[in-house]
Amino acid sequence: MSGHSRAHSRPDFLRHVGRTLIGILIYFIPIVWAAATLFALIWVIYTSLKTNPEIFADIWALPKGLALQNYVKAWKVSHIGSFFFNSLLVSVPAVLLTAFLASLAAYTLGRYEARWNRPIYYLFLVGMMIPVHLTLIPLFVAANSLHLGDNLPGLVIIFTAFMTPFSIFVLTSFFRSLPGELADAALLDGCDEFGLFWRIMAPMASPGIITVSLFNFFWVWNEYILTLIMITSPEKRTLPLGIYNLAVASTFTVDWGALFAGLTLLMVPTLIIFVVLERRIVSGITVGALK
Amino acid sequence: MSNYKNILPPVIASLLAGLILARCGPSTVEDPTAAETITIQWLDFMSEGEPWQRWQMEVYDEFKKVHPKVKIEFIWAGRDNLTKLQPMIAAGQVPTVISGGPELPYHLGSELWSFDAALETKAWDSDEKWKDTFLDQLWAGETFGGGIVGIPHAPYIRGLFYNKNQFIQLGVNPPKTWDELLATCATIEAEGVDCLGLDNLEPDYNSWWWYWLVQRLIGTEEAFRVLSTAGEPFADSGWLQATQMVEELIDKSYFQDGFSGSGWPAAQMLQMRGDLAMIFTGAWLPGEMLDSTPENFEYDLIRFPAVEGGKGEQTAVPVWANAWFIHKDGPHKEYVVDYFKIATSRKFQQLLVEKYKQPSPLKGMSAPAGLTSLPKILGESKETTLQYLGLLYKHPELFIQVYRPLIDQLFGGYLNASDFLEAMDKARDNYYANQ
Amino acid sequence: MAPKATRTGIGERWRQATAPKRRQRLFVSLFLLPALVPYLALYIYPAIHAFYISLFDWSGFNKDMRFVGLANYERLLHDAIFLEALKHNMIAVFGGGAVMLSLALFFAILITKGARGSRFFKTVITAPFLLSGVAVAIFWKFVLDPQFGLLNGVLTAVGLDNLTQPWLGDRDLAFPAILAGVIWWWIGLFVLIIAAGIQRIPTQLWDAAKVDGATEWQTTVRITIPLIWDVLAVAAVLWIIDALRLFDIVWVMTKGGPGNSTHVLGTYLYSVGFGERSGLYQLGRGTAIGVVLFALVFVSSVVYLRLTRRKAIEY
Repeated sequence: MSGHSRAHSRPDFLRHVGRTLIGILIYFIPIVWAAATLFALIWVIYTSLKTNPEIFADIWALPKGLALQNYVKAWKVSHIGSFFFNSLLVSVPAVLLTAFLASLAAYTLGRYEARWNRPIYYLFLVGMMIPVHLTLIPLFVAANSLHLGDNLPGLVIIFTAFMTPFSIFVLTSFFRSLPGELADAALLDGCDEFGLFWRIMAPMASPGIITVSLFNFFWVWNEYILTLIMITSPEKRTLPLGIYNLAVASTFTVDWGALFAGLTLLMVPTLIIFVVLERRIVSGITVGALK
Repeated sequence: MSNYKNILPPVIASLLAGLILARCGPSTVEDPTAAETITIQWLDFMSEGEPWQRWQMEVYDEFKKVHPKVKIEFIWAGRDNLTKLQPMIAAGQVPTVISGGPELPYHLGSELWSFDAALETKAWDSDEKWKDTFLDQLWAGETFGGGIVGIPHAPYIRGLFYNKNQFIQLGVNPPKTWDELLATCATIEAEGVDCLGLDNLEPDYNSWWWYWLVQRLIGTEEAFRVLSTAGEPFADSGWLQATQMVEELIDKSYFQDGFSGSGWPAAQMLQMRGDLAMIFTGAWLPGEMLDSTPENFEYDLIRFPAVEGGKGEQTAVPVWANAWFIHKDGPHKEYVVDYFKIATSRKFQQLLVEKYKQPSPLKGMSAPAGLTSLPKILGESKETTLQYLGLLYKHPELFIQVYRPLIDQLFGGYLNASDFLEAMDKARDNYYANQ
Repeated sequence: MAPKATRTGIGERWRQATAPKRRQRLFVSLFLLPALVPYLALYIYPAIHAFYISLFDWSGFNKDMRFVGLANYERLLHDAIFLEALKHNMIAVFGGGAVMLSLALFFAILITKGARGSRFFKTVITAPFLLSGVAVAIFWKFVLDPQFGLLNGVLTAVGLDNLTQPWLGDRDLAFPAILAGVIWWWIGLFVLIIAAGIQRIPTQLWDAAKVDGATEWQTTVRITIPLIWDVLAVAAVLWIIDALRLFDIVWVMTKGGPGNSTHVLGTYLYSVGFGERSGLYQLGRGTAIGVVLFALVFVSSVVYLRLTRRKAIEY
C-alpha cells in the first residue's frame, strides 16, 4: 500500500489497529471467562475448608487451616455413606433400562415405516417439555396405586419413564443415520428382527447410546424433586436428598462450612468423571446431535 | 419359529409392564395395629441435623421408655413438608403429626384435630393443667375454628438485635423510642458503622418495618381493617407518616449501602464483622448463628421503638410460634399427645434452652443466651398480635401478590410515600373487584 | 360392482404376499411398547390428570375440590405477575438465547481453530454445567452481593466504582444479572454441540476461503453458519426448552422478587401452587400456569423446528 497518499493509508492503519484490538479482545474474553470459572470451582472447595467464623469474617479469603470437621459433619448429616449406595442402586439400573428401552424404540422409529411412528415420536417429544412440578401430585397418586411408591425399584421405573423422551429424541435420528447395507446383508443371512437390532444395529449406535446414557446418568444422579415426593422411608433416600437435607439444615443453622463441604463432595467426583469421559461425550455428541 | 424366539425379550418386557399396571387398585392406608408394635407417621418441617430435630430425637428416647411398643416414623421433610403432604393426602396416606409454622392452620384448617380436651388434663411433670404451663400469649396463634389446634414449640418475636459489646464500644444505649433510634443511628453512622441492616431480597424482611410502624401509629385492628376492606381510604395521617418514616431511614442511608440488593444472610455477616449495628429480625437469630459467632459478640434485643403520638399500643409485640399439629384422620393420637407432654415438661424445656439455645414456650423459663431481654419484652407487652397484623394468614393472596410487590417498590426507591399509598389503595380495590 | 374377493382370489394372494412384512412390522412395533408403557402411565397420564386439576380450585390438603372450569386460565389473562413472569421468560429465550448462542459460537470457533489451550478451555467452561442449580445460585448470589460481592469488588478495584449497583435489588438489572449466571452455567453444553458441528466441516473449505482472501468474519458468516445451521437449530431448541423451564436457579437466588422483578413462569407456578410455607397453596391455579408453560414450550419448539427446517447442505 505504499505509494498511496496519506488520505488513503489512514483507513488501512485504522483497520490494522482495529484488527489488533479485536485480536486482543478475542483472547481476552475466553481467558477472563475461564479464569472466573476456575475461581468459582476453587472457591467452593476452599470455602469448605474454612470454619464458619472464618467464612463470616471474609467470604473470599483463603482458609487459615483445614476445617475438615466440615466434611465429617457433611458426611454424617447427609448420610453420604448409605445414600451413596441407594443412589447407585437406582441410577445404574435406571440408566441401563432406559438405554435398552429407548434404543429399542428409537431404532424402530428411526428405521421402520409405520403410520403410527410420527405421532409416537411427537408423543415422546412432548415429554421433554412438561415441567416437573406440574405432574408431582398425580404422579404420586398413580405411582402409589401401582405400588411403585416409597421403594427403590419403583424409583427406577419412574426415572426410566422420565428419561425416555430425551433419549429417544437423540437416538432416533442416530439410528436413522446408520448405513443400511449391513442390515440388508444380515437379513439375507436369515437374521430376525430382534437379532438385527441386538447384534448389529445397537453396537453400531453405541457412541450415541453411551453419550445419552452419560447425560441420563448425570440427570438421575442429581435428581431430587421426584425422589423427595416418592420416598418417605428414611433409609431409602438417595444422595441428592441427603445433600438437599444438608442444604436446608445448614441454611437454618447457617453452617456454611458443612454446606460447602457437601457441595464439594457432590461436585468433585462429577467433575472428575466428566474430565475422564470428556472425549467420549464429545465424540458421541458429534455423531448424535447432528443428524 | 426362530422369529418368535427373538421377539421374546421385548414381549416379555411389555408383558411385565402390563402386569405391573394390572395390579392397579387404590392403596389403602395400612392399619398398623399388627401384632405388637404401632407405627405413627410424623411429617416434620425440620431437616436432619438441625437443633430442633436433634432435640426432638432426645425427647423420643424418653418417649420410647414410656411407650416401648410405639414407633414414631419421623419424616424430616424440611421446609417443603407441605409440598410432601399434598401428594400424601391425595393418595390417602395421612400422617398423624404435622409440624409447621403459624400459617399452617390457615391452610389445613378443619383438617386439624383440636387439643382442647387434652390441654385440660395434667401436665407431664406436675399437677398443673397442661394448658396453664404455657405462655398465654401463644394460644391466639394456635386457635382455629374455635379450638386450639397446635402445640407451640417456642415463642418467636421480632426485635432489633445488636451486639452488646459494640454498643458499649460506640457509647450508645439501646433506643426505646423512634426519636432515640434516629439519634442513635446518627451517632453510629458518624463512627463509620452502618446503623441498620436489611436483607431486602428476603421476602418480607423489608415489610416488617412498614407494618410495625403502621401498627404503632394507627393500631392493629384499624390498620387491618383498612388494609383488608375494599374502598377504605388511607385517610388517617398515620399512613403517610409511617411511610415517610421508612423513607427517612432510606434517605438518610441508615440501612447499609446497597441494601436493596442484599440477600440473606449478608446483613448478619456484616454485623458479625462489626460493620453493622442493628438488625430487625426474629428470635431465631442467636440460635441460628451459634456456630459462627465470634468471641467478642454478644447478642441482645430490644423491642421495636415506640412512636410518640401513635394510636397503637406502643408495647405491642407480634408473637408467633412454630407448632405441632395433629391431623384429624391420623391414627393413635393419644400417643403423640404424650410425646408432646414429655417434650413440654420442664426437664426437656430446660434442655432446649440450655443446649439448643431456643426460647421456651413455657411460663417461667429462663431465656437462652442472646435472648436475655425476651422474657421482659414479652412480659411488658400489653398486646400480642399476629405477625403482619394478621394479614398474611387471613388474606394471603392480598398480602403476597398485592402488597408485597408494592412495598418492595417503596424500599427500592421506585415509589414515593404518597404514590405508594395511592398504589396500595388502587391495588387493593382492584383485587377485591376481581374476586 | 366388482365381485367380492374370495379366499383364493386377488385379496388372498395380496395378504399372503405381504404377510411376512406385516408380521415383521408387528414384531417391530412391539419394540415400542416397553418404552411406551411406563412413559404413558407415569408421565403422560399424570400430565393429563394435572390438566384436569387445573380446572378446579383446590388447596391439596383436603378432598375439597371445587370445579371452576377455565376460570383459572381466565384469571391468568388479568394476572399482572403472570404476565411479568411471561415477559421474563421471553427475555430469557430471545435475549438470553441471542447472547448465549453468539458466545457459544464464538467460543466454539476459537476451540476448533485449535488455539493454544483450547482443550483445557473447553473443559473449564463446561464444568459449571455439571454443578447443580442450587450451587450456582449460591455462588452467583455472593458474587452479586452489593457489599462484599466479587462483581462490585472488581469494579471498585479497577476504579469503576460508580458502576457498582445493588444488582439483584435493581428492578431492571436483577433479571439480566440472573440470566448472566444462567448463561455462565450452561454455555459449556452449547459450545460442545456447536463445536462438534463445526468439526464436521472439511478443512478444504477454510483453505479455499483463505485463498480467496476472505476475512474471519466473512468466513464465519458465509461459510460456517450456513453449514452448521441444523446444529444451531438443535441448540436453539434446547435453549428454548430450558429457558422456558427455568426454576431452580431463580428460586434460590431471589424467589422471584423483589417486587416480582425476577419471576419466571416456573417460580410463579411454584409460589402459587406450593408456596413454601407462607404460600398460597392454590393448586388449581398453579397447575394452570404449568399447563400454559407446557403449551408455550411445545408451540415454540414446533414452530421453531419448522421455521428452521432446511435441507442439509451437501458438500
